[in-house]
Amino acid sequence: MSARKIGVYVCQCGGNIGDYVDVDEVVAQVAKEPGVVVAKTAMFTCSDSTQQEIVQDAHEQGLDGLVVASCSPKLHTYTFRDVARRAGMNPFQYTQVNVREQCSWTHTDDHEGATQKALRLVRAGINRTRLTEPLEPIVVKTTPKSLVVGGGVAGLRAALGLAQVGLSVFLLEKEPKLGGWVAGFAEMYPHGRDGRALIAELEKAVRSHPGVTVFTSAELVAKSGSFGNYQVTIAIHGDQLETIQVEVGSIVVATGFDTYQPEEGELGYGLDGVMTIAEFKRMVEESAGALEHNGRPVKTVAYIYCVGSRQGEEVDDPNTYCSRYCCNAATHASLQVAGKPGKVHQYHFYRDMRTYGTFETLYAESLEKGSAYVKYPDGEPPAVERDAKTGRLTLTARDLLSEGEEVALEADLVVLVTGMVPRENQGLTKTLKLPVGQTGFFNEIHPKLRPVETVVDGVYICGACQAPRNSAESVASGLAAVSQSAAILKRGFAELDPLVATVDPVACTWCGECQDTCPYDAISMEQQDGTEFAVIAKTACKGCGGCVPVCPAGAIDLQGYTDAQIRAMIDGMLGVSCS
Amino acid sequence: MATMIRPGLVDELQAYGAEDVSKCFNCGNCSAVCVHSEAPHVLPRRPMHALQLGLESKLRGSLEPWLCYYCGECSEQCPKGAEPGETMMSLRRWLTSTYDFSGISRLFYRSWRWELFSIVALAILTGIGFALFGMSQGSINHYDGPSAFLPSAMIHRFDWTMAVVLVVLLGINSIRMWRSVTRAADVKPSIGSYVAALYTLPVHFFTQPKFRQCDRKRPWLVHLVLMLSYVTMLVLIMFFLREMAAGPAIDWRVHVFGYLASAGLIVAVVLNLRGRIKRDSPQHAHSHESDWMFLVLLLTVAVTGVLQHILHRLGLDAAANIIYIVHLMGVVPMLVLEVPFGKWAHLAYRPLAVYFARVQEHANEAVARGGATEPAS
Ligand SMILES: Cc1cc2nc3c(=O)[nH]c(=O)nc-3n(C[C@H](O)[C@H](O)[C@H](O)COP(=O)(O)OP(=O)(O)OC[C@H]3O[C@@H](n4cnc5c(N)ncnc54)[C@H](O)[C@@H]3O)c2cc1C
Ligand code: SF4
Ligand code: SF4
Ligand code: SF4
Ligand code: SF4
Ligand code: SF4
Repeated sequence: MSARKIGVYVCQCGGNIGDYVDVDEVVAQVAKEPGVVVAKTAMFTCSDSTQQEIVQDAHEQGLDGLVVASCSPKLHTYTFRDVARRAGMNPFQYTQVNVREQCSWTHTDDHEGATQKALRLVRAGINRTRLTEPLEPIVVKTTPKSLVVGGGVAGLRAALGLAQVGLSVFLLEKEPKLGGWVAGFAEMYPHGRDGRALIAELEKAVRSHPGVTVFTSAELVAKSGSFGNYQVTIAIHGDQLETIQVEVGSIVVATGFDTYQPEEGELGYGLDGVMTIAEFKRMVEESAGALEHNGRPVKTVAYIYCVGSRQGEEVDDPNTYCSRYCCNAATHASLQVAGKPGKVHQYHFYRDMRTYGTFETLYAESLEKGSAYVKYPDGEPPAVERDAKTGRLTLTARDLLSEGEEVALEADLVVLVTGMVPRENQGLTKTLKLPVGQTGFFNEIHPKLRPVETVVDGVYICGACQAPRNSAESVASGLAAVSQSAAILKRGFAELDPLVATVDPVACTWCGECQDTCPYDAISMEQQDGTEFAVIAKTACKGCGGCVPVCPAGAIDLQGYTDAQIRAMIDGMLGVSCS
Repeated sequence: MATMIRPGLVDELQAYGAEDVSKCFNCGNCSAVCVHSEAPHVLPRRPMHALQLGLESKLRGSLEPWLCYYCGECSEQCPKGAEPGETMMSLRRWLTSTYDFSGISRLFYRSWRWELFSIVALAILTGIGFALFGMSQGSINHYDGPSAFLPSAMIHRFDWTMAVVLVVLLGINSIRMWRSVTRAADVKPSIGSYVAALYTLPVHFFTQPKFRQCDRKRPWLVHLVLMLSYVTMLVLIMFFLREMAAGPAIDWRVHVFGYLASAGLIVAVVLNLRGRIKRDSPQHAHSHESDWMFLVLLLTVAVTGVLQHILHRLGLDAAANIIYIVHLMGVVPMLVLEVPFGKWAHLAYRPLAVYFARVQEHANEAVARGGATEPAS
């Protein structure tokens, strides 16, 4: 008989579980398991009342282990760990068993089978719980300094924000000048503010703040240490190369985007008069009076939208996403043109108008100022040629607003409204182990709930390096990264889950296998009394378990998922005992 | 073949009264509410968009503007204030000017000063002409009889000459309309289709059954009264002028019809004028200069027509003769300038458009039938 006192709660999740799994049967069966003193079912285990009930049961029965069979651990691990804590248990003696995503939802056609499977899963959870030990979170002291990589509008604002909450900041910019893309714009949507002035203002505030150290023409070349205390090496390209090392508690990545570069011949790119939206914007802003090209007045401009964005199967490795800024930028550019002297006819060849939210007014205003819109079908962008006879640029497209009629336009300029693409940044990605998503932009943990955190603790992402964004959105996410950094750095310490790997130094023969395997560089070699053995930095280990099976000496165990626990779980599932 | 875009067409249409076209964002609400929008005729969104882009060759051959009777529903429903109804009206003005071979129509629509000047000039010429003619011919104190100032036989000849000129002018422009329409159409109708659709011409000329389909019935009714009164008057003048002028024993039938038609004309014109002044309904919210001239001329003609008649009946022959000249000063510019080159021209184009639409429909049906009987491969 077991000395443990375990409470088991099998959730019905409304009907999500209860409709397919015979929950009462499962409860009746697991109640007989050794160590189980409470076995119950609940309609919604996560509800306040059931949480109360668990706490009460724990106090009455003196529970020292908790199993909840419900939904995915991704959803409620932290909820029930907290319940365990309130019930006087160690939060790490709680086990969540997934009988929804991995059972009821997948076996809606087999109630009997689903019930059997649920029973096995819960039994495995009980077996794991029986072998749990109380664990304490790892407490890490943090360095109250932050590194911001990238000095665009997002990075600048983040640096200023970090300094304003009282942290020391190092701002790193690869280029000789700060400001990123915004520093190159005159008028910007939506408020018509001058981008150069905006950046000058920000730069002044950043440079004059005593808490910020700015490095330009500088790059991050190495990072070591662990969460809360990273040592980073910065290379500064001046007259001669200089490297310095600084210690920081968090790293904010704000390295921005690049624009899509059309290939020669793509939509006429390469022909005289065919240019990208960025080139066109510069041309409009640099010309003083009426718009001219090659010394001749420009009378007709054609814009082609979605170039390099929302691509389909017709290209290899397509950019499937919408670049989000470009409908706004193109309608805005047409307004800039309309504001110039001289009548310019403007035609927009678009797919869908995505001037979302308040930017709708840009579209409405461009219409009122006389812009005309041709909606071309997906995968059928306009053909752009230089007419041999007239010498003019000619666009041909099908217009869905004219029931698919083919229309042709002679234009003086063709503007390719190019999207955003991830910046080439392999060195940085590797150094910081930044997670890259399918689109090539950096990935957050959770788009809604943890929008600037990455899987690397203490490394945050913001601005357009994460996804296509306009400057206001980039700044907003920069400030989110500030508050996340402040949350861990201002307290002076942070807590980490103790579910990490440990090495038995006696069993270890320092073969180095585990060090090669660890994706987080958590393992190093140590020597004591002439013997070499592996040591795992608790703050760097993510508990992935990758090193455990590769160790030929069986010297590694994972806290919370020890070999013994895993074996017991397998036993539970098979309904036998193999240990 | 791709339709060539002509940038700037929409700006050009501003002179014809299309001011807000560019606001349209192609939602299609207007076509959803328009009772006349039925495939293959999508209105007013399609012509609206074609105009925004400058698809001139499409528009030149489009019947859609003529299938609109300006009930104004679409303008009321348009979320952008793009005034699709008024755009259709403007397109009709523009189409009228493209059909017209002489360029006068274009001149008048684009410049109200020219139109006004021409009307006034022609009125003055008419006045002087008839005055001189009358004086050389009879006495101002005689309305009828052998020494009549303006003998009805002479006026009658004059009317018929004018009628022939008008028919020729309108005829040429109507043929040009037909050419534009057939050039833009996908199918070439056979003679059979032209014959089969003929019945639509008189029906739509006299009763405007499509206008009646609009939700608001009043505009149709007022238009019908105006139109029937006008036709009645035309018949009376062209065939019974002598009976009308020769007093004192005027045929009572002529009398009754004459008064009915005059009353109809005056009431309808006054209602329309009042509507335009008060802007009481969507179709009266915008008035092009040509709309005012049309109504004012018509009112002048109707009122002076009745007046000279009454004066004559009262035995005030001199006064009757003077008012008669004023009347003719209105009639001649109205018929010579407004009918072939101005707003009046729609009396030909609108029934013709309905006719051509039916012809095309008939031709398409024939093609479809032909297709259906082909053996399946
Ligand atoms: C044509 C065009 C018009 C636009 N118009 C508008 C507008 O009117 N309004 C608006 O709100 N938005 C506009 N945008 C979008 C706007 O440019 C972006 O939202 C904004 O630049 C994003 O800021 P960021 O700081 O994230 O990135 P960036 O501006 O790209 O800045 C990133 C910075 O990081 C640096 N960097 C990159 N890699 C490294 C590295 N490894 N180490 C160190 N530094 C690095 C870069 O040199 C750069 O200075 C426009 C964009 C384009 C292309
Ligand atoms: S914002 Fe507009 S132009 Fe840019 S990718 Fe999206 S839909 Fe295309
Ligand atoms: S558990 Fe994973 S992260 Fe931790 S040391 Fe082993 S391999 Fe590295
Ligand atoms: S794999 Fe095992 S034996 Fe080899 S170094 Fe790592 S812990 Fe030691
Ligand atoms: S005004 Fe009336 S008839 Fe004309 S297009 Fe609009 S809804 Fe149709
Ligand atoms: S005219 Fe108005 S209702 Fe019609 S499509 Fe345009 S915006 Fe919509």
